[in-house]
Amino acid sequence: MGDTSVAIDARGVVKSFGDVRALDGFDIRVEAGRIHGLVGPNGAGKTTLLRVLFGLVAPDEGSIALLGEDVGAAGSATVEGVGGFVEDPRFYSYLSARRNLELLADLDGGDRDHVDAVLGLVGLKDRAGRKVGGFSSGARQRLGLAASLLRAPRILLLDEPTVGLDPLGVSEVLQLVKRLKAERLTALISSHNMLELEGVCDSVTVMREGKSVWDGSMDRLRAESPAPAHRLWTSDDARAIEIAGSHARVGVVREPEGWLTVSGEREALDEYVVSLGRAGIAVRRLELLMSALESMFFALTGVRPEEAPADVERDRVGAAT
Amino acid sequence: MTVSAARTAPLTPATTRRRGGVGAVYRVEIAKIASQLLPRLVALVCLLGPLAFTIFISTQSTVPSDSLFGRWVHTSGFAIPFVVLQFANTLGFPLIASVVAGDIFASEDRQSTWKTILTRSCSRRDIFWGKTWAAFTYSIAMVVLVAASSLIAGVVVVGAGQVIGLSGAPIGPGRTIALIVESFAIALAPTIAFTCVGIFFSVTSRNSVVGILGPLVTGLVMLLLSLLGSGVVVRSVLLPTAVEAWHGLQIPGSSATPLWLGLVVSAAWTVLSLDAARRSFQRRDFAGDGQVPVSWSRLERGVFVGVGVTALLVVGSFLDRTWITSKHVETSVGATFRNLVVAQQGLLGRELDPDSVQVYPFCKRESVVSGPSRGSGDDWTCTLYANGPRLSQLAVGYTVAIRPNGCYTADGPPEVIGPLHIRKAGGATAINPLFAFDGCMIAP
Repeated sequence: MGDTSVAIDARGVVKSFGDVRALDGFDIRVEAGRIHGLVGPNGAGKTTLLRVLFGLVAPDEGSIALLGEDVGAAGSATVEGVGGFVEDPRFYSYLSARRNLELLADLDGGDRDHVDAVLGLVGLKDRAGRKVGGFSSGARQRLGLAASLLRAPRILLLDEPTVGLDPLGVSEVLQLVKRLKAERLTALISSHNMLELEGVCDSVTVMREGKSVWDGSMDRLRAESPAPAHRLWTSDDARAIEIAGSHARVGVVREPEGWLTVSGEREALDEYVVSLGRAGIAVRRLELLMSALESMFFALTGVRPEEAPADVERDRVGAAT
Repeated sequence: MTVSAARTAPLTPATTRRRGGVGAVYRVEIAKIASQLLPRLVALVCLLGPLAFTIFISTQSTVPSDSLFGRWVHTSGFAIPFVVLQFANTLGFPLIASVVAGDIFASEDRQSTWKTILTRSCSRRDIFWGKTWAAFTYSIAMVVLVAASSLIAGVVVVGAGQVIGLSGAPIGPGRTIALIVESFAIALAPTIAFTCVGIFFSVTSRNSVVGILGPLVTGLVMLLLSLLGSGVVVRSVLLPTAVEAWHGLQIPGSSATPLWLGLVVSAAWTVLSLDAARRSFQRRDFAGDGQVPVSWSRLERGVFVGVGVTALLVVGSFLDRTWITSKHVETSVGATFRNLVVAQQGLLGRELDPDSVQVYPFCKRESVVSGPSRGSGDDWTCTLYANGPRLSQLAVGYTVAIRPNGCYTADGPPEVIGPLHIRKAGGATAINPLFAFDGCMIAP
């Protein structure tokens, strides 16, 4: 048993699938009671890390402890007090939502008393008797969350928990995660959407190609983030660029697509837009291209947040192994 | 989502958890099996199939006389379970075993649910053994269902008439029921072995189709190999041979070796298949979702190994020394004939002491010009000389077809042993037991 104030402690974790190194000496340390984000583009190794933490995949190298208990021996049960899911949660399609949870409760030791409570918590009480085969991916996601909560977790490991949910569902899941924090639960939430995690997480680890490229508190991340970027359409781009020369705190680049990319803090951007108006240049459209955190994500990973590289499916490489 | 509804309640239960263990996995798997269509359908077939077979056969003018007890299916319902047991020993037991065992691991790949159950409080060891015991339970339950269903169907549809056993002696109802129970109990060990073969294919292929077809193909290959020759070594490693150990139960004084050998062979298949499956499951990385498509390279490798082993066994079958000799044939046919003579005379109202009847058999293969007669084939002839009280000097020539498993069918000349049907002492009609009869030699 190690330090129990540290809920998740992984050092030098290496996992390869054939020639692909999904985790390359990865380190992460999450203190108990914290909500920690795990961000990175698709293929960064987030899902592989969660599979390793759950014991689904044995690491080639490194040490892992959850709640002070060593993880990693092939075939061992998931550490007690650890719940969650990896990728989209899956259930037995020929059974109802309630029956699925009852069976999962049996696997945990037979406590079925909370099945209805957790179903109500995730908004599935009215569909508890329906077969899961007819559920949308969003409903399955909710059921996955219910199944995780059923385990009385002290650590929740959630892999892209908002995928497949409508905006209201996303908001509700994030609210739920915030409440977990109030109950001193530790959560590790993976996402490729930096903005989604911004209001939820205390700290974050940014992953790239199986490595941690940034790790720290959300406040520090914000502080270190570059200025946000905006797209700007004007009536006279050439003069707008010329005027930008007198605004030291903004950078303007003409894009071949026909807009200007303006980077700068909010106040500097305001001053620049006002000067354009004074100069008789119409601002036809101004929209956020990347928030500060997204800019940071871009800087750290080299991948625009909205661009999930389809050809890099590192997390799924091991499917046939 | 109704987060506000539960705003004051704790989100997660604050109970102390205990591990699920093998028992929990077993109960969950049984619940899943009971909810699935295919296992239910097969259970229905096991329940109603023997009844349908019995009704069908009772409406036919012919009987399945190529099966042991087949010629008695119109006379005694007790013959039905023995006929069903032989049919089940072709592909029935592998099918029963494969339905659940072949799918019980691969279905988790198909439904991408490994991550769902492996992230609970059960170790892989718990899950492996829980699933294995559940598959065993289903296979055993289906064998019991077939046995009970065929016995009840036979007695209800045909009646509880006396049946003549493989030794040629009539068997009372109580003893017959005990023999049926014992015979199906013997079939349990090979069925468990087929179940383990199914588990092996299910775990290693991660594909339900391969998992289900694996035991069936294995069973079919074994069946074909068992028809090839009567050699001792090759036949003894085949699971259908282990089932056939039930023959010995009906023949007094026969060796118990086939029974023990069958148990050892079944145990060997069980242990080897399960151990390979367990190792594969234990070291597997669950790194992706979905059923793995059957890759040609793996399939080719599997087929190559399978064909290689089969070829080895085929060659072995031809090289293997047969245990069927004219001495064995004479001993078995002579003893069975003597018992049948006593049975026939009993039907005619003439009670005979079996010990007072002497039979002198001379058996040989017609195709053998010189040297000793041996091996299976349908060209055996036996001339039987019988002496006894109230019996005139009787000399009967039977043509005997001997199958590789040592069982045989003997057909006699009606002009000597009488017609197919004889009139009993009370006036009722009965099958003449000497007209044609079945028997089995038990391998030493």
